[in-house]
Amino acid sequence: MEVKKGLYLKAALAALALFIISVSVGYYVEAQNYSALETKLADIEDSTQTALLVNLFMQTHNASSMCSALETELSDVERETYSVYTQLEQNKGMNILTNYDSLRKKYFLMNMRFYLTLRAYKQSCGDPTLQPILFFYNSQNECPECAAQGKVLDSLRQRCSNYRVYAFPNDVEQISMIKTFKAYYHVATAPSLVVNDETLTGIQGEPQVMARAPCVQTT
Amino acid sequence: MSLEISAGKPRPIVTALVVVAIAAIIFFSISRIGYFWVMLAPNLVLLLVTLVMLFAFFEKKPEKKMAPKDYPRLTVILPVHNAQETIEKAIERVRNSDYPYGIEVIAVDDASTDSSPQILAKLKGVKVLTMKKNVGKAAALNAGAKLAKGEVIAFVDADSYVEKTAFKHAVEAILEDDEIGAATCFIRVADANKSILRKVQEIEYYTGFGFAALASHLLDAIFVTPGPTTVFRKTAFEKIHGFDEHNITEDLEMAWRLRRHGFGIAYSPDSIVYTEVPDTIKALYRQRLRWYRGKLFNVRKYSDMLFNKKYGNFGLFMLPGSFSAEFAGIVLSFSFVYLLFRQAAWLASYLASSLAVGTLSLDLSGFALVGTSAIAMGAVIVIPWIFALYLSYGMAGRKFGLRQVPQLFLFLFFYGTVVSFFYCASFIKEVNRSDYKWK
Repeated sequence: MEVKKGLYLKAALAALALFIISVSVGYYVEAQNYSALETKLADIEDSTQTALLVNLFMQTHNASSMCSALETELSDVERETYSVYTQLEQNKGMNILTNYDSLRKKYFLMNMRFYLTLRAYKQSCGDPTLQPILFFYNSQNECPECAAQGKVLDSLRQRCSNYRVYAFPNDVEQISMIKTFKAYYHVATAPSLVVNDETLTGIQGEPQVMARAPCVQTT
Repeated sequence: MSLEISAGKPRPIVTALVVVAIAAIIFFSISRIGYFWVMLAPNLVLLLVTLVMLFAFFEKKPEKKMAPKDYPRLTVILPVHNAQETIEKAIERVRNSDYPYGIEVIAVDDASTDSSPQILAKLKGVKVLTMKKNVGKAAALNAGAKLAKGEVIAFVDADSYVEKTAFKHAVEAILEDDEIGAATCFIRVADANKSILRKVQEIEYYTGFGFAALASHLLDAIFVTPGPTTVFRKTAFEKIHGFDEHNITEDLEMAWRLRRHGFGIAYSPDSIVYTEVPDTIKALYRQRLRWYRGKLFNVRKYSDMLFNKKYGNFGLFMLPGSFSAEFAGIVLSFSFVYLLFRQAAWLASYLASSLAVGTLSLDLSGFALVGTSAIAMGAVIVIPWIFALYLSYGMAGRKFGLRQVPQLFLFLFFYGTVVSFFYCASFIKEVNRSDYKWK
């Protein structure tokens, strides 16, 4: 009985070729997503730098007339950063070949800078209505409650024009600044919210959040 | 048939340990390296097996010899056990066959309790052998073969319907070479539009008894002489002493024994036979339990043939390839079901949390099972399989297009998973040495 070694070799090579093509296609698809996010993040980075500079200018020149310009800039950037957060979190689980860790780290650091700029703006421009909310969720471990909390915050952001949400992973140890935030606000589990400097542990509904942070209804 | 085969003393503790160990390995792998890679590995096995078949399919086919001047005499044997619904049609199809000589038809009534004996008594030109007690299919076939006068014997199930030229082409395939002991046919699903389950099985039969059978033939590695219809050279059948009467898959065992005795098995794609298939999941489960347990039993019996060069592509590729593909199916099914359960648990918890705080969003964008890159990678890997399916449909003279998409979807995601679980059940029963009741 003839053993068709050549045929097996051809099949093995074809299988290898198809596997390589398949990985390449997968990598290409992921690279496209990655590159789109990277571009978005670069744009946000520019806007954040601008906001930081405007804030610095205001502080050094005591130019409160620029408050409204800074507020507009910060609002635009917040919308963008929140959409990047959603995409980053979705891509994290779905991507197989691309490591998003560096992009995520970059994003979270920028988000923190942005959050602190907003706090500084709130102080220097004396805007009492603006409500920055910190949202800590589980990124590595399964957390359906965090997803549900995210939907509550999505809804609140649409209803209340003065809400600004900043999301940070509770279970990522590599970013030391997140640890600092968590320690400062006594955050241990996810989901947790920090509203008006008060830490709320566990999932919170819209009424609980609105009770602590007055809502300016979106017109 | 009420034949009962006892496999030995049951061993539930061993079985439980084996099941827990396998499940633990799969779940541990998923949690460590991710379900995508766990699912990719069996897909690569399936890819390799499919590609070997595809390359074999396109190997230069041996030139068909001229039709023989003289055809041998043919005896057709039908085992009958409670086949009142189908036996008349099955015999009528045999008698309408286009064959140079008159066909000797022997029906072996294996102690039917329905109206099969009365139906057989009415049919002219059919020799009826009546067994006093139910002896099982293999014994009934052997008893019929003892009476056969033909140099070639065809065994036809009582629920299978041969096309006009099926025997002629199968006999021509046997006459191609003196070493060929049997010729198998292109078995298809009868009345495929009768139920969804039949429609889905139609794909399986097209690929298994069409494309895969031809590819196996070209590798000289056919590993089953299908029960619905197979034609044997009588001398070969007698030399190996007929069917094993204590084997639940006598057709599989027969093929392996023919190979062990050095006989080849041919495939005749023009010999078309339609067979009845299960219409319910329960009936399908019983059928597959028999097939898969028989396969597992026979692989132990013929373990020396596995990876044995002496048996050529059959020992080196077909036996290990077939088992690897089935094992791959099990891993895929387990992973798929694990994924479904995990996502269902996630969704339930998400909905409960959302309802608890009174904000329910139906935007489930974070709920996707797989990402676009995984879909793109999977799409590349299934190309050869889709191509094999296209070739199978072509062999059956059927068009393969968008209309087959729902059927294909059911086959891949429902039928494939269900059948793999049947295979798991068979494996568990074999490990446990559960008795086999052949009803």
